[in-house]
Amino acid sequence: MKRLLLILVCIVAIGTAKGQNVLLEQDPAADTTTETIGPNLRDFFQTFYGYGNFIGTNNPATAVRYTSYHLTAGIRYKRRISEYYSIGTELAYTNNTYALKQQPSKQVPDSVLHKKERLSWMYMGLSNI
Amino acid sequence: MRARWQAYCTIVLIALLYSGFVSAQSKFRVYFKDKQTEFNPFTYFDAKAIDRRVKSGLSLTDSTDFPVNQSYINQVSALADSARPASRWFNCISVFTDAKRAADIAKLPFVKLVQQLLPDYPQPLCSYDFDTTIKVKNLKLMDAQLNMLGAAKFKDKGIDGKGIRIAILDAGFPTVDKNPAFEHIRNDKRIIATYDFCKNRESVYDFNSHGTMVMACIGGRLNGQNIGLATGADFLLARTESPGYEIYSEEEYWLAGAEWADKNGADIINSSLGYTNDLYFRHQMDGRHSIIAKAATMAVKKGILVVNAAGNEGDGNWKIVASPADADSVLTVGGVDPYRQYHSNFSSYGPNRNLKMKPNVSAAGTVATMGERSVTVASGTSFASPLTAGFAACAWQLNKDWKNTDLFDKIQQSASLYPYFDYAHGYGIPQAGFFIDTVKSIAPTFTVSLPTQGTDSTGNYSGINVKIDSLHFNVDWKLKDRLLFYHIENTKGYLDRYYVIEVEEENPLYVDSNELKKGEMLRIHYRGYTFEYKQPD
Repeated sequence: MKRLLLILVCIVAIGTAKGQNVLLEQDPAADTTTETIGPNLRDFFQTFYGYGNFIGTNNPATAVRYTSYHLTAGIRYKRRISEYYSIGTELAYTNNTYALKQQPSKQVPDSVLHKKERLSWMYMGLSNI
Repeated sequence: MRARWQAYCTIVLIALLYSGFVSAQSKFRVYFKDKQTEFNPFTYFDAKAIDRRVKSGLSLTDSTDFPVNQSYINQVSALADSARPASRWFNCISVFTDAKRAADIAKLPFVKLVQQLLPDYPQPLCSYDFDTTIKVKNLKLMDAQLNMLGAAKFKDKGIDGKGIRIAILDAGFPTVDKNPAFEHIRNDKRIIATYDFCKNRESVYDFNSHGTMVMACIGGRLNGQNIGLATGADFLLARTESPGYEIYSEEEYWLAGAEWADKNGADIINSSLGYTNDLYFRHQMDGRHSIIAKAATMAVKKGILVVNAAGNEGDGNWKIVASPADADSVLTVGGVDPYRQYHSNFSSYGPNRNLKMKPNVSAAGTVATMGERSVTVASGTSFASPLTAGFAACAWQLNKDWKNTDLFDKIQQSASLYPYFDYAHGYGIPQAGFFIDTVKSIAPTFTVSLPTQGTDSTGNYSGINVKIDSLHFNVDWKLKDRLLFYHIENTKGYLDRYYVIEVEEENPLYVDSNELKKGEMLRIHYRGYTFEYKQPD
């Protein structure tokens, strides 16, 4: 009870205390810096990611389930070389995972049927753009 | 089936060919080496333009006023698909052509430079009966937006901007030709000229209603209620802005509009627009990069007062003023809350990249104005600017012998915070009383206990304490009467930090003087009085 009373007193005290109420505070130095990295500037870093599903008719021997997916993420660097052109490179991680349908016609990677079976390929690559 | 496929292929082929044709057309700005030398200013300019030049001590035979050589225009136009109006101020013309013909243009002996520009985009149309009721809350807001400028002082003296010609460069003026808020202007035939630079035609009474609202903030009047201050001014209306897109061409339209305004005797240009990240980087906001900032500077050199909105980027990533508000000689106007009278969060901050103070002054950033059909509440520095342009017209009417630069200085000096300033409010809100009443010295509203050396344990300067005078302290006052401003100016003459605080106790501010570097200036402003303290070297 004493503790509750103390908390209440504190709350009332905070509510009635008047201090300096700063309405506007600005540091102009931060507004006058020259950016060198960003869209359309000389150097530009960009992260990207993507997710996709496989579509189309499956070969009965390699049929995949809807839970199969393609996942990619990476970082891209671009350097502006003229008004209209840039060159750059990107480092990307890609994961292609195929959830195989367990059906009698299955042949990949073998004809043995399981409760669940997945094949995954992971890539890490550097490419130029 | 086969025929259908052939039709599809043909359509795709035509589309590809057409897109190739379109992309082959680029826009170029062509600068000429010299100009036409025969020029009679008395036949070329409106009489008011001549008067302004004489008053400003400007030559009537300035080469920047000479027309562009028509032969040059014809020869360049012959190598282009279309051309924009030529600029006499910058002796250039913009044309649409392909790269090969641009190279041919560059080889012409009278061509100094050919610059490739970004392309334009088409603009949508818009349409528009009038509800002349002014709701009580809107009436209150109209009063607030004018009273904060001291409008009653001008009104009592019968000052309404008469004889001052104001050019408005905006995005369209739908219904201005029939809107009851401008009836007094139409009846007196005070819309002197109009031109749509985006469409190359005279009518400006369509497209975006932004211009209509802006014009109302300068000289509108509805049911006897003034919306702006300059209800007696003359007007030149130019559409230079294509809503929806920010394109380089708009800057050229603005340039053409400014030259047109100059030719037609404008004393003041109001421009409630600005260009930011679509076309520029923040570090280019120095008044020297954009053609619109150069055009605004040139207009000022021709004796015109250019009033421009600071921009609405204060709460966005861009944050700082837009162009042409970045030009040193442009009177840049920030937005304040009409009741609280301090910075509206959307109003763009200064300084410009030359570290010159921007905005220069402030006015209401939220207004009640006349829209296309009815009274509406609008927010943005777009409306603070015309309120100030109307104010400037009244001040100029009182002092017709002043040059534009004199007026610029006097408007700053009249402002509510002067000599205090910051990069959110400039010198504050211009006051009509400055131009009407005898200027009296303001008695201190607070006292400051200055630091004395060696009073603390480290031997350094102690703190600076502010105590509000009892006559000027009342917690029940409205917030606008309890605002304390302070800043720290470095030895190079620009601000390192600035603040606005709400006074809730008699000792609202303590500044640790150890935080001030040698030679730095601390300025404190409260209720009209400014105190300065310079840290000893």
